[in-house]
Amino acid sequence: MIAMAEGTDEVVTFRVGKQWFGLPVIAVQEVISHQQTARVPLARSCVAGLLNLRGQVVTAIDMHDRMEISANASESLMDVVVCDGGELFALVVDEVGDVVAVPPHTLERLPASLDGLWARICTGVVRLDNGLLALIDVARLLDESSTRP
Amino acid sequence: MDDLLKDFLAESAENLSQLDHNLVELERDPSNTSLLNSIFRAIHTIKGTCGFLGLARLENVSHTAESVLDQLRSGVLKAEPEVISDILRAVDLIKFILSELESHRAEPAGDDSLLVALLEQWLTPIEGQKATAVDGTTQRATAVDLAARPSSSQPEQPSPIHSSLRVNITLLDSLMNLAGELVLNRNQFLEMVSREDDSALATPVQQLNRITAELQSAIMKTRMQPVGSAWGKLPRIVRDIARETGKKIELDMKGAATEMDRQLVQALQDPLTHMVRNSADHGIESVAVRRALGKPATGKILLNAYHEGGHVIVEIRDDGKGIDVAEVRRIAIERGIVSRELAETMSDCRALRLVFEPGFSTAVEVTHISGRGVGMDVVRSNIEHVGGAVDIASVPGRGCTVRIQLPLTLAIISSLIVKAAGELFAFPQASVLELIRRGPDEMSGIDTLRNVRLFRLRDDLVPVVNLADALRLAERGADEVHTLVVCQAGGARFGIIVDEVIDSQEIVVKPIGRLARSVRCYAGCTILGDGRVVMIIDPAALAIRSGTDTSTLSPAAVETPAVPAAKPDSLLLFGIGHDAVQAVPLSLVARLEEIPADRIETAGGNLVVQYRGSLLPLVAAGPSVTFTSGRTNSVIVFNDGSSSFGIAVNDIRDIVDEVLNLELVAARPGILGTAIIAGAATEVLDVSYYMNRARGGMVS
Repeated sequence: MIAMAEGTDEVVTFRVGKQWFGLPVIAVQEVISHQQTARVPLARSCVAGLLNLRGQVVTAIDMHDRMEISANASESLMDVVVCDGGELFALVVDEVGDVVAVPPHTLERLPASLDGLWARICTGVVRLDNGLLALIDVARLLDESSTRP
Repeated sequence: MDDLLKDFLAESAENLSQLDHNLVELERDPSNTSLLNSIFRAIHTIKGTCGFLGLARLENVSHTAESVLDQLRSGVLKAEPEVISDILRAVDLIKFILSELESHRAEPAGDDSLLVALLEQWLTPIEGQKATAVDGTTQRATAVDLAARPSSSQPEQPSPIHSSLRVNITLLDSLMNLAGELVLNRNQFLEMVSREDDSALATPVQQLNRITAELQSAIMKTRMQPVGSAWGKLPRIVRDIARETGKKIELDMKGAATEMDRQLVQALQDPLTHMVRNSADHGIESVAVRRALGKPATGKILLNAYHEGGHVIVEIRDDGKGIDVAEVRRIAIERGIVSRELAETMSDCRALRLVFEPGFSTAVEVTHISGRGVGMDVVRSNIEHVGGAVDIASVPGRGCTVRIQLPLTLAIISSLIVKAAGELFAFPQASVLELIRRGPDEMSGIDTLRNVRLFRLRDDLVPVVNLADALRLAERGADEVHTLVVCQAGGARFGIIVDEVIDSQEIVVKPIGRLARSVRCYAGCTILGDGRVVMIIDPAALAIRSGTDTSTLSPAAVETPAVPAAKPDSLLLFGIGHDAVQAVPLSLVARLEEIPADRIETAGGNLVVQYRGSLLPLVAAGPSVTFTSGRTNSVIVFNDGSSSFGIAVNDIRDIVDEVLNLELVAARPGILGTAIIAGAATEVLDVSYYMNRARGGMVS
């Protein structure tokens, strides 16, 4: 995430399981409460379905599946709507937090021992008061080649 | 040529409108190379095109102006006011010639040597010559006079240039999307209003409904392209083949202005090229052979495009040797496409269609012109992919006709909404042949062969698959009470079991996102009136995926295996007036309908009836069939793969099981012969005869 280092310093935070993640605020179109989705049978496991956002068809991504974090039963789900490659995606997450300022100097590199999937999707780590925030690159998150069938 | 000229005029008008401004700007800022380059390009484009269009006068002027601009670009000349004025004069003259071209379709007569000489002075940077430029003043005056001459007697007339506008394709696509969304929104309103008996919204929503429909059709029109733009390359291809093979071939193209959605025009291009190549290479005989047969030495290929009942029809017809049906049968058996029994019992029409099967190619020798591995199966799958259908007919020795039927647009289709395992799905109506509802005790119709389930549909065995199973939906679809959706795709028939059919409606096809697209069984998705997103099933892809594609099964297993010699046929008996009764094998019949005689119309001398949103051609089964106003006629509907037609009769009498043994051969057309049915001599109808009549005789 070069843009980040150059001073895009605001991220939208959200939680999946116990982990907090951050997305550059500029990539996020809106945050909505979780919508009813239409299933897409036989699609990749991370595709939670399709939803209708004011007449636009949006692909919902199950972030638990995508980040390989086991799902808890009773979560109040939220959809973080992002745009990538002219297409809309709704990231289905457990909770959406604040928009946090991330000055470039607080951004730390990913630990070398991080597992392959996360290393491919995340761009860096920020230490917050209540834990670590992993920053996500939208394009890499939605790259089909790294998703499970 | 006219189209080219129109395009050229529109394009030049765009270029020229900027040119004056740019030149004046250049005068102020002579070092601005990007400005100079854009001026150069504008003039260069005009020069290039008018050379191509044979506009000598225009070419001469623009060429000279271009040369001067080139000198400016290379720095030999400086962009001084004198030079700029001369170029502006040239631009004025170009404008004048263009405006004359627009109103008279021809260049005006005139002599531009003065202006050309004026410009050429700048091209020779020799001291002595520069001096003459000074006393070019008088010449200039003349040149200006010429250029400034009023262009036409009626300058107020609206010109074609300003009545059309170039619009970006992406903008048109986004307009189409917006219209689609508006349709969905309207559907929501309509649904809301329909729930309340007496809503104040009823009238405005009705208005909204009308305006939306009009808007949608207007936007659809903006995306229309003449089908002729897909066959621009064909004359050249035919000419090359003719030269290479020493044949004489004439390509005749009709209906090039027939319009359809640009996406469909694109989809048509490759199949069309392929089939015209086929006709030229394999269809048309050599001059010597044609002479020997008493045919004209020059072979003809006719392309014909026209609108018919909400579809665009494109026909490729040649007067070559036609297709040898026996040869088609032989090859199909040899390549394992059909069983011998089936090949021998199927009608010629059906046998001919085997050429569309994968792995079939009739070319005895593969020449470098045609045998490029793109077979007719690819043609068919390309056409079917965009919701079209293709059919072939041939008369040996007389020629061959391929008929392509395409929808007008891809964006909005009529669909069948079904439910399977609690989820809704849409089927494109175009690929649905029929619906069969089965109760709990009617499962006997479905047999299992290894792991393939087959349904006995009249006399055919049709592979079936449960939609919920095929899509691996967790909850298993109900097998007890269900509906069988019989689909036709890729030349194969198969049934898909769904829990129930909910509705039939017009839907807007929306693309599915890239992460969901990797699954091949969807043709897209849509949003229903209640806001729900529904996947559109692509039946052909689903068939391949779930293994019901007949080509993956051994042919004998799919079609009725080893027909016993004296197997009884189900025969449909019907009356044709004057107490005469005829019979037709029930296996050929798609449906029976009762149609009020008043709904039967005449179009172009043929009987038609509006049926399921399109026109169904009708043929009366004999002269004694009567159409009495206020009464209904029975219509036997036949479906022949791609198209349907009906035979109108007086009434349906009975269905009997009888071994069909033709005892007397036909004495007149339309009758196969006479057989003893239910103890009485009964004439048996020749369906293929009526099919040809219903189509107005494809090969004449």
